[in-house]
Amino acid sequence: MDEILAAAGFKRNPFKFRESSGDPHLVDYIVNSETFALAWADEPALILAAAGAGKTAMRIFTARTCWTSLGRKHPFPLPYYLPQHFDGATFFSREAHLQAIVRAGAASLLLGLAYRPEYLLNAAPEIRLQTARLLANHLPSPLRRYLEILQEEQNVQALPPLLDRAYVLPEPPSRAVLLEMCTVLGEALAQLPSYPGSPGQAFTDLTTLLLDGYQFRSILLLLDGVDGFADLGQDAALTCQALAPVVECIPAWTKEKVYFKGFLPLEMSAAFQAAFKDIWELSNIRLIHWEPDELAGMLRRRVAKATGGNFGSLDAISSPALRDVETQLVKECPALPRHVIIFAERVLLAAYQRCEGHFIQISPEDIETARKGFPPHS
Amino acid sequence: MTPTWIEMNFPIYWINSNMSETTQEPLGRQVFDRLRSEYETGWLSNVYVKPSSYAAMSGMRSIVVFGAEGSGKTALALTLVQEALQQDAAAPLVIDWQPAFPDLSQPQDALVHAFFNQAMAASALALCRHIGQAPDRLKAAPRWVQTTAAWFVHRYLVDLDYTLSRLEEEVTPEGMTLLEQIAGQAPANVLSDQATIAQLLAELVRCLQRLGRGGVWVMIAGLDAWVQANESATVRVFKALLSTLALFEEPGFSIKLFAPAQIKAPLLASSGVMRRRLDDFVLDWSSVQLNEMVYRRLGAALLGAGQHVSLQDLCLSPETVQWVEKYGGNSPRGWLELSGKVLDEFLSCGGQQPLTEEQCTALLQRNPPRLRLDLTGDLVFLGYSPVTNIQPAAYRLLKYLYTHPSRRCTRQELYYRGYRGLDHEPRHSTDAGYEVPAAWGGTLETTLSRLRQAIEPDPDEPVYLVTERGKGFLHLENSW
Repeated sequence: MDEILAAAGFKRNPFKFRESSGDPHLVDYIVNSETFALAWADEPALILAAAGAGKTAMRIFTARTCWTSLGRKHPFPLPYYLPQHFDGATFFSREAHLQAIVRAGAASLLLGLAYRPEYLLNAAPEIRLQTARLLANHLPSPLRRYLEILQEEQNVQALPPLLDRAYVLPEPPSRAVLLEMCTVLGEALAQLPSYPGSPGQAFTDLTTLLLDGYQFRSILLLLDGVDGFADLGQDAALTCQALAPVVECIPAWTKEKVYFKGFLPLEMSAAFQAAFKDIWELSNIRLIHWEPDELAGMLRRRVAKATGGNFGSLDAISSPALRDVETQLVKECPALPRHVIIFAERVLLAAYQRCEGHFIQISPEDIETARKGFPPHS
Repeated sequence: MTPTWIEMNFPIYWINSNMSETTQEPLGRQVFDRLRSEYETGWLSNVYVKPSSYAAMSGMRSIVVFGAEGSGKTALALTLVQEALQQDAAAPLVIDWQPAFPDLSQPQDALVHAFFNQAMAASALALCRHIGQAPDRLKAAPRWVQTTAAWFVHRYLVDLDYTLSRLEEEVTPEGMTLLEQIAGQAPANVLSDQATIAQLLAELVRCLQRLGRGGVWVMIAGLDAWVQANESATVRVFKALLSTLALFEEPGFSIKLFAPAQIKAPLLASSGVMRRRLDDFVLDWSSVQLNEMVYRRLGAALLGAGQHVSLQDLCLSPETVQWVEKYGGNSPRGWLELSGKVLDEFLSCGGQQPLTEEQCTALLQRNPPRLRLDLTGDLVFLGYSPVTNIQPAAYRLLKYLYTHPSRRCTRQELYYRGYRGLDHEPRHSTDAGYEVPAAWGGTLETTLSRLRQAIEPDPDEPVYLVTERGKGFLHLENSW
């Protein structure tokens, strides 16, 4: 279908990525500046939304913005996406959480340094050593292997798919600077003795390195993926129990400039408020909600970006019987971006199949076909 | 060892040599012979009709497709794989995964891990096959790709020597040499034993993409037998699988599950489906699509691939066409099975002229659609078409006869055991449950009459509820 879309004026499929973490163009059409302000600020926050409403998109946008904002003193983003670190709901202990957070922090640091090597290259030797130690002890694969990958591929984009595919930043470094970073880090690694440490000590080492060593303004601990575990299912109380070791640290962490940002399922809000009353009152809270015209606007933005501005609505590739296609598509779905995006792609695919792969012109029949195969789920 | 589904259906020689070939010779009766896609791989692409949502099912999306038996799940799976493998660039590595039931007493996360390890073992085997068939790709790849591939193979294949012996006929000599080198060397460490599903999938997909594959497709089909054997266990394991979101978040990893319709409701409640991490489809067909299937198969049988022949071309009687449409239900297998009978008759009568009205009538009389009961759902089918106008009392009679196929039933037996559900037949007025025949005779006859009205093509000439003349015994014929 990509060839047909190209013939229709698209540079890419505007609805290909229904999962934010895989979408390199996310920043082109993210909205909701008020929610972002909350996610970015140096204070704890809870951002609540239904599944598919854009929690992860906001989390990713926040993390990317940390590295793309102007000025040197910006927060260090530490995405803590639970399904990346746990296969089942086995994170009921403080130790388990801290170990995973340190692993997430190590991954985030390596990715950050790969995209912005100047941080390491301008760091003092002791900071480089501490960095190498942290990375050597807490990455999923040996640090030397990741350095080898960067040196062989000579492209920073080789790293995110292995560590955090959402960690894709603009303006990657030149090959020479990237290789220099690898050399420097490899030299520091060669000087290290083994040092596993305790999870608590490792967490302290991580925060000290980031705040004191690299002089980041703060650390944003971006918790996400709570609803990714079948074991927890619909049990909000059990989920709160699983998160308790982390939530209980929020006041102490706040004093240390580690700001908790919880991107949580909306269904958890009552249970969370009941279980963590103090934290609830301490935090800034926002609910992500979409109006139909906002969803239609999101679709149009995707179309506009995917066509490079050639046109900004699916009306351009629809039959005369259809007008304001995006508004019509939004009416067919629950008011959630993921559902709307999937439905829009289904309509494109139906049109592609109906036209037997020769061209795409969306007709009312295609919306009907997509509707039949798209039962509403909660 | 039993050949896997892919090995049975896509032996490498077939993939390499026959994918793009279409024969112009008539294929003959074989097109309607077995009506099981597993045996039709040589020409299926010439006659296949795609379902309405086909475009949405292909690509790197994870999907679950629900369909009744005979709805075409296997044909769909084969066609998706065939077209994917025909891509010039970035064809996925197709994994045939034939799951084995894990220990069901395990907690859910252990269940998922057991299943995942099976899938990874199947992936490792496919990776070995790919390396063996294209060794230059691995040799030219960066060192980290080579070490990742070697590590993956060692981690998930327990007996490498045996595995390589299985692959000997599928790989090149150079490829086998390379595989033996991999097997003989201890791999470098890539991920720890505590690596998560997300981390393992990311490494596997990146490795494969650098070896020239677009990603991974894990095909899971053939579950009808599972469901028949143990429906609740099947639902439990697959619901757990579909609720493990990490399996559906790696862009280059796709699970394509083809499941029987009867487990649709519980699987739709899995969180992966509800959160739209994977797409669900129901395989159903319009009469237009079913007619198209018949056109293409008849055309392929009589004239060659790409030709169309309609039932109307084979028979002058519109009733025959209606017979196929009515008793084929909305099942491809149903339509093709009945159309095959028309083709047989056409060929046996010389194959030169359409069947006359008399020939058509004789054909229909000799081939009453099979009567079938779904005892789980209390459903009645004639051919593949559900019968919906059977009253409960009539159904009880039918069910009794159906579940006692070898019995020649008296009316007395039918009334007491079938209609009333007793476990005995009272014979005397002093027996529990006894009724004088005059009291129930009319009721029974009325119910039998209603049953005949519902299922018999001609109630006066029954072909299902047959009474032995002069003896009064009733039995069921033409059922299965």
